[in-house]
Amino acid sequence: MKRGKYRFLIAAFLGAMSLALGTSGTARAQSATPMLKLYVDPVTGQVFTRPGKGRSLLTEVPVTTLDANAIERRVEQKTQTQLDANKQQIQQLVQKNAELTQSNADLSRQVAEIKPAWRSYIDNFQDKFRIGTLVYADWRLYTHTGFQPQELTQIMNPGPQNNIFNSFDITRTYLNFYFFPTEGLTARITPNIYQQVGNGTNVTVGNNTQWNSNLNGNLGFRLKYAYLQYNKIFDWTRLEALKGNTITGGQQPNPLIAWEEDLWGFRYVTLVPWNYYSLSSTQVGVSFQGPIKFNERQYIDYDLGVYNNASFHATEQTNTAQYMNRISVYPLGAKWRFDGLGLTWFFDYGYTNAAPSTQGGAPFGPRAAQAHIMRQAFLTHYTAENWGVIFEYDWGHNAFTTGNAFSGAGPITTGPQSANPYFNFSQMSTAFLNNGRNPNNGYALMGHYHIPHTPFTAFGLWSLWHPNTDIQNNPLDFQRWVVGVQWQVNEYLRLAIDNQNVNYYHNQHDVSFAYVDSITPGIFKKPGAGQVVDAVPVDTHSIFLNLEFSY
Amino acid sequence: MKRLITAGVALGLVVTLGACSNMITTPSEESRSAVAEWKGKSRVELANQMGQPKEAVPMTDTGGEMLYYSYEGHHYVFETDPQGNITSAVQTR
Repeated sequence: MKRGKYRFLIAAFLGAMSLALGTSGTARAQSATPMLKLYVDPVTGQVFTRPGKGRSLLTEVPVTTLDANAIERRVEQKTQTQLDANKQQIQQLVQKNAELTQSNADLSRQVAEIKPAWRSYIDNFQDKFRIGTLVYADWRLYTHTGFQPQELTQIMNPGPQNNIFNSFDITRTYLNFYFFPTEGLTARITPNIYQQVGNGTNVTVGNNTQWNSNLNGNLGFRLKYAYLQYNKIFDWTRLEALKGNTITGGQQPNPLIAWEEDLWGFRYVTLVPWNYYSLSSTQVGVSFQGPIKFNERQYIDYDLGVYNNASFHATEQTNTAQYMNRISVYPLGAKWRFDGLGLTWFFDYGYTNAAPSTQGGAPFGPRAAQAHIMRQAFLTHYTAENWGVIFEYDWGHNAFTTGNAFSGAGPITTGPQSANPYFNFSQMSTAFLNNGRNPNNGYALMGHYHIPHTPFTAFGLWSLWHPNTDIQNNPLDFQRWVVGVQWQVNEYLRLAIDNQNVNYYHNQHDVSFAYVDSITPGIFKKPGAGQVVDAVPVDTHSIFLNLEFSY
Repeated sequence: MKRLITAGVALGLVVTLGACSNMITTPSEESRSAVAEWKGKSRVELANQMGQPKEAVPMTDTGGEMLYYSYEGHHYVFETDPQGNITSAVQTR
């Protein structure tokens, strides 16, 4: 009974305690959480979960804190927090990246809108230059060869007694480089091939060596044009009539030859009169040119300038200069460049290209070596859309020497007559043409007609030339005539077949040494009763097939 | 001198005939202004529309060309500059 009594008391005490604790709040509930007691041995520093000898209580840890799920939850919570932070950071980076992309786009747009000078230059590069070419080629056959001027640049024939001579030739290969750096300014550079003629002399090198000359007739390149042209030179005047007039400096076409080649239109077939006689097409100098227009009609076309006395393929030696002008008047008003009736005057005054100290050789002396040269041309021309005709009167002074008369083929100039059957003829020609006081004149008629509804155009040229009008019955007087038909294959290619002739039209006759000596004293040392026998050269006749390619 | 006078008279006749024929066939003001619209355009555009010219003459001094066209019963003359741009355009018939 006693034992049961104690049990009852203990149970009552515990029940009372439980009741008391159950009403004592949260703190008490926490204090009721099972605790893990940890003990430490101060000597060894070991931690134990159970008490023991020499151990003292280190701490009490709530068992709940050691719950795996709770730990996992805390880890998850921490990880989630980190992930959220990372996500936010990524979002910030994405946003920043988007801002940078937008910024780059803005910058690119701004750069594109800036359009610097080089950009403009590149965008319009194709408009800044042009490269073109102009090629002349031919095949020619001479039924009769003889002494004569060249029909085309640097083509020759082997002279008398070489009939049926024939040859393929390339007489022009322009590479036209045009550059237009700014509005109104044009730069032109045109290299051209030409036929080199000459054997040259071998070159001695040192004491024991010699190099052979390689001047063997190669086609060589030389500069044909190199000039700057500015077409706003008179814009300051605000005169509409002068709009487009130009100033040109450098190696350039002279006022007459290129213009007349364009007027006639058949330069690839043969040369226009003054070019055939002596005047080069190109000089180095300064010039002004342009049309004068009213109501879009051209009434005057002019070209005037000052140039070297030397042509473009010679070196200047004089202390003077050469003046040229061409003035074309279109009284009815030209709607296009050569339209309708035109009246043209050309004037050229210059000097032989010789240094001032040049004395000249016998029998001429310095007067001939440094003679003035004058050329004039008076042209009346009419051009329609499918035909054109040109009449020309030429007048010159010292404008035709043996170098011109025999540029295509000429006599050997060294004697004596027994060794060279043309020696006396050569002496006579020299006396008549190189004496420094020979007046020249001539006439020419040129024209063309386009045959309707065909690609063919008929053309022709006739000229009469008196190399020295002071000479009676001059055996060197000649006519030149050219007739042919052109086929316009396409806009780049023209072909022509033509017949070219030089007729020394006087009847064959002898010329006395005495007469020749009266023109140039001393040319024959002992004139006596000597004669230049058969003084009239033989005619030349040839057939040409010409080609022009222009691009 | 006789030759010169004869040639001069012949030339005068030719020129007079030419001038007369030109006056008879002068195109209307309307067609002249229409062809003037070609000024400034490229010769390539011209070739695309009118085809091959019946004559094409390169201009040695200017570097341009004279182009002579027959197109749809009319006749034209065009001049180009070195760049191939048309600088003058005229209907002749």
